[in-house]
Amino acid sequence: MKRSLHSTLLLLLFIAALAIAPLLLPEFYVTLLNYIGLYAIVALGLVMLTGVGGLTSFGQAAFVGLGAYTSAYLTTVHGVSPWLTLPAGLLVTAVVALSLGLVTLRLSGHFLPLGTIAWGMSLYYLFGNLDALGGHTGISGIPPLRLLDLELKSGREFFYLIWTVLLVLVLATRNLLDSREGRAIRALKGGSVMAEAMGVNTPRSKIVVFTVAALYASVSGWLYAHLQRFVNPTPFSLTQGIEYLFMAVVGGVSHVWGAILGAGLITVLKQWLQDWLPRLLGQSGNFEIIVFGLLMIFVLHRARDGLWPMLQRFFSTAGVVAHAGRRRGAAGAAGTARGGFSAAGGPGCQQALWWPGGQ
Amino acid sequence: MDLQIALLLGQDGITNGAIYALLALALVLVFAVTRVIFIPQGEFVAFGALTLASLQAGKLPGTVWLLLAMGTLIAVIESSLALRERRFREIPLLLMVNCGAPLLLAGTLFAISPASLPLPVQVLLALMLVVPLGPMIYRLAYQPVAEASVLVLLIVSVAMHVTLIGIGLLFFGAEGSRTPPFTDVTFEIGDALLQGQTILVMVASVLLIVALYFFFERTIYGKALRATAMNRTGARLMGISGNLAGMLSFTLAAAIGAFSGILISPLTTIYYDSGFLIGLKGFVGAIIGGLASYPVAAAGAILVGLLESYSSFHASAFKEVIVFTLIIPVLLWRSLTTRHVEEG
Repeated sequence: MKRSLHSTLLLLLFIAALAIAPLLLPEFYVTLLNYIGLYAIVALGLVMLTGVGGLTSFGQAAFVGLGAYTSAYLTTVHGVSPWLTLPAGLLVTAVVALSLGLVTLRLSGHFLPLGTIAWGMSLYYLFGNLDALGGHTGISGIPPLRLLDLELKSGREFFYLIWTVLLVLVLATRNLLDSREGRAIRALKGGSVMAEAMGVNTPRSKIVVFTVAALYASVSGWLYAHLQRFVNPTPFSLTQGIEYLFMAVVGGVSHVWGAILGAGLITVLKQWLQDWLPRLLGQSGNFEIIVFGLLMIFVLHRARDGLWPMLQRFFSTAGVVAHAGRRRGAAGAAGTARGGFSAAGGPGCQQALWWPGGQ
Repeated sequence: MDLQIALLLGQDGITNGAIYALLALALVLVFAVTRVIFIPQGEFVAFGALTLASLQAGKLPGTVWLLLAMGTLIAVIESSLALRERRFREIPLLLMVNCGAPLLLAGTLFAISPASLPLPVQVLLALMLVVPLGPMIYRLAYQPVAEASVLVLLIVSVAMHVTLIGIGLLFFGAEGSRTPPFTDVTFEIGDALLQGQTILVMVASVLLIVALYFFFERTIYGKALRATAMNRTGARLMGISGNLAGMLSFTLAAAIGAFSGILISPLTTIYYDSGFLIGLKGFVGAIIGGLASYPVAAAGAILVGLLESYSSFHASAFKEVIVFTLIIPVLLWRSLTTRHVEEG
């Protein structure tokens, strides 16, 4: 399945826009884009887990926290180089995700998300109460990343690192889903009996996709720790974990690009709502969650595939993606799972609601 | 730890455990009937407690506005459906139930001063304000996706939960409330002091559980719910409406939640977001029962209460960590003892 010329062109345009963005935009927007990138990495893992694997997790923020805290602890207390703490964080996350997965994934589908809620809560309280991790005040003075002689201290420099990592992970995800292992993962959502009949070891595939999603979150946490150079438990709470899921679902849970769209949309919307809602309501508080919750319910009622397919349809009717729908049907799962600018966009795509048992 | 402290902690644990048990029962019920994992259960606890507290403080509880808004929304949706299908006769009834009743309730609250009413009437008013939110939430958020997978329903639940948390903050503010105890009676058993409120909570929980048992065993609606829980399609073929079963189970869950909140609010300060933690502990109990068995869920919930109370003595900072980590060995045990085949 070759990607069409148009999609490659769009991708290149997107990359070019990203490359010049930090040079043109004011600091505020660069920071915003940095966060969008960080969130999108986590949401990308969730797309794989939820949209493709038919599982879900509310505890991704806890995995982000594992990555961030491992790096923060090792660099500040033991003076380890940040480049070595990345594999260390990944290792810790993998061990935790594997053991959690082994415990819950053999049970029916809803035990994993419930487990992740409990797990997200308990890890949050653990971060906040362990003296070694600085309790609720957290750990400060985390060293910046160093690339040869360049110290990545400013947001503008970090921007390139975050978005390079994100794009590499997007490509890696697409390649993974096209591999043998990926086809097994994609078979999960259609119910496990069929997949098992075809010789797929479904518990193993579930654990693989859950662990990979956790590792993405851990990478995002590592980046976060060295961007902020300060960690405390707040960004790793269950609420944030739920927000990550919102990003993935609103953006489009069956498309790798949906993760970026969702992360961007929710982050910008949050910024905007946090400005306006307290003024409108005359009280201060996190009222944006009301809007997010309602938006989420609306998306699940009306457009369970999220906003990305709508965007695709819009572009294909506008003639930008002239080839859309050419592979429709034939590509089946692969078309949507691979997503990207080349994925089928027509109404045929809409039937492929990648929710297990979706109507 | 001497015996007296042990008894005191045990008393605390069993009281909280009784509340968790009630919530665990509601969660099992809702899941069995609708496949919805009802995360917002905890919000009903908070709404029940805070609505009662607002009534007692002589304020108009924010839940009135929520009730009016949701009632109006449902009336609009249902009426437009009825118009499209030319069922004109049903419209007045729809309007009366969904808009009229909440308006009447709001009007009553405006007219009388609830702060001066006797406690049972206040409790009744609080329940009348909070319980209808249950079926309304089912109608608005769950009924349109009733046939979707457990996963979709779960995500809807989580979305509903954060929405209600935000609304709770908007209505009740960030300060917590504590209602005065229902009774000041205390008993002395040996060295230990037994509070009347504690006994009240336990007795009320046991009574409620017995009432639920009779509801499910003896009434036609209870049997309909059990039939739906056993086999949705089969129940539908027998003429049991899935929507009715859903609304009924949500009504029960909301009633149990709000009542638990009212029971627990003299014992602990309730904030707009405390319900979630309370509800989650009910969940741990429900999961111990595999989201299927009522007695095991109730026993599990009591265990959670005891564990919480004793761990708050030994390692109070890690009390939540201990309670929520308990779920892991439970899940492990369940995954080793059950063989589950899941089809899409």
